[in-house]
Amino acid sequence: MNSVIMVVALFFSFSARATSLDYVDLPEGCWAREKFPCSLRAVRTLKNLKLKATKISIPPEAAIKMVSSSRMQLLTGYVWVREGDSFEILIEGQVARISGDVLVSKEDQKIVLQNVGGAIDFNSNRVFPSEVVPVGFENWYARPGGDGEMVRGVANLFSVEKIFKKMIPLMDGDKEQQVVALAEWRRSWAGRAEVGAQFYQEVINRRVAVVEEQKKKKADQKAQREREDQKLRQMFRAKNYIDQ
Amino acid sequence: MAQKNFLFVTFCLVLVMGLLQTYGLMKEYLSPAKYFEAQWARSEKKIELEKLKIALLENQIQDLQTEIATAIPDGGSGGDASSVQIRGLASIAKPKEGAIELSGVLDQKAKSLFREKKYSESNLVFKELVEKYPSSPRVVEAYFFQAEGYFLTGQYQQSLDVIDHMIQHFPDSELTGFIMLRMGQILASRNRADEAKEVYKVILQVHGANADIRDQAEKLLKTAEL
Repeated sequence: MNSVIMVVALFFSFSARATSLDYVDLPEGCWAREKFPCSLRAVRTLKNLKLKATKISIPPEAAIKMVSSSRMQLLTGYVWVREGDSFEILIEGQVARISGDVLVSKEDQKIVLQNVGGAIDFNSNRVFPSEVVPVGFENWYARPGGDGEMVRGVANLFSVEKIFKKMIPLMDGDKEQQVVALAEWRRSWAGRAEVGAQFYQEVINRRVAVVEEQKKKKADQKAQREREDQKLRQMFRAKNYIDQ
Repeated sequence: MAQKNFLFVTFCLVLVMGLLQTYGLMKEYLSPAKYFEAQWARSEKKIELEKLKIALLENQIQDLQTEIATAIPDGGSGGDASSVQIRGLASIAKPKEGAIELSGVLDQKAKSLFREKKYSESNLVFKELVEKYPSSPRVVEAYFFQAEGYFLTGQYQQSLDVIDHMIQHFPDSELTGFIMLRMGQILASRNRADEAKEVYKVILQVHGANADIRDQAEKLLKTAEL
């Protein structure tokens, strides 16, 4: 009887279908060989890809460029950085260091960072060092403005439903386990409303102060430049030295 | 006997399974659907690779936009258009290391003529460089040599016109500082010593950080004061 079962099982194993395309990478084969820089586009959901101590999960149609094994640039879609361990995200030439769980999305040429359970640290003089994004908050970052400072929003509370929509396709386990995990996440964000008000006030006060200072400095520089140019042009354009 | 029957049944089962498996494999292998499936899989991979390449190119464009946005100073937001300094990209662009600079050929030709003291011909080539490659970082030098060429051939008015253009478009360039020394000399030659002194003082103020410009300006200022 056992041998009959074994034979039938063997039959079905040979009937198994070949696996379909999960992702494409450029240069081809770089991901499997761990040769960086390497760009990757997910065709199917990729869960828990290991990069040193960090894991990332990528939904279909998202694309990333791994500059090194711990530095990533998001090209399209979104990525869930899980258990990040000093994992770096390149945003418009600046570097955001991530620990823990953070969702990184590209929306309308902006990069959105949603802190679901980690820490985000910008090691840059173009973003206020103290303007971190607390757990339960999100913020967007865009191309630097004319003064070289990164254009960004003010960190605000993210929508739990929208976050769950992104997280669910990338979660492990069956439906029941996912429900439990989602409830845990929701509980971990419970206290963020209280943090919110004070945080906003601090950020806005600081930004207003710096903007005022920058405006004054620019105005002074502009006035100085105009005075010098005016002087030069007066000398130059006076008709009395343009002799034929 | 029972054991023999059992073995026979097992043998028949294995045979039937094997025949079915072989039939299935042959059907799949020889089926036209298999060929199209393989084609489809190849096309899918190709499409996904192209999408990845497009994403990479878009990213490169955005990186370039970021570089330019960082390089170009913030000018004129909320201000009057006439108060904004006219600047070309050439006034702030820096040549990328290793990049092929097509204006280099004209630049070399013009400088070679300049060294041979063929100033009229070199000016024509410098003008061509400026017209064909207006955003090239070599444009500042082209204007400088034009102004210098005019000065050395005694065409002071044309030299002043070019110097004026440099002051407007490349005020921070040290070449502008150098060529303004010529402006002072032209004014001094026209018995406009006071204006010449003013020019030298402005040069010291704006371009005094450059030691060569500072030394020259100080010498010429002393001469003008005598």
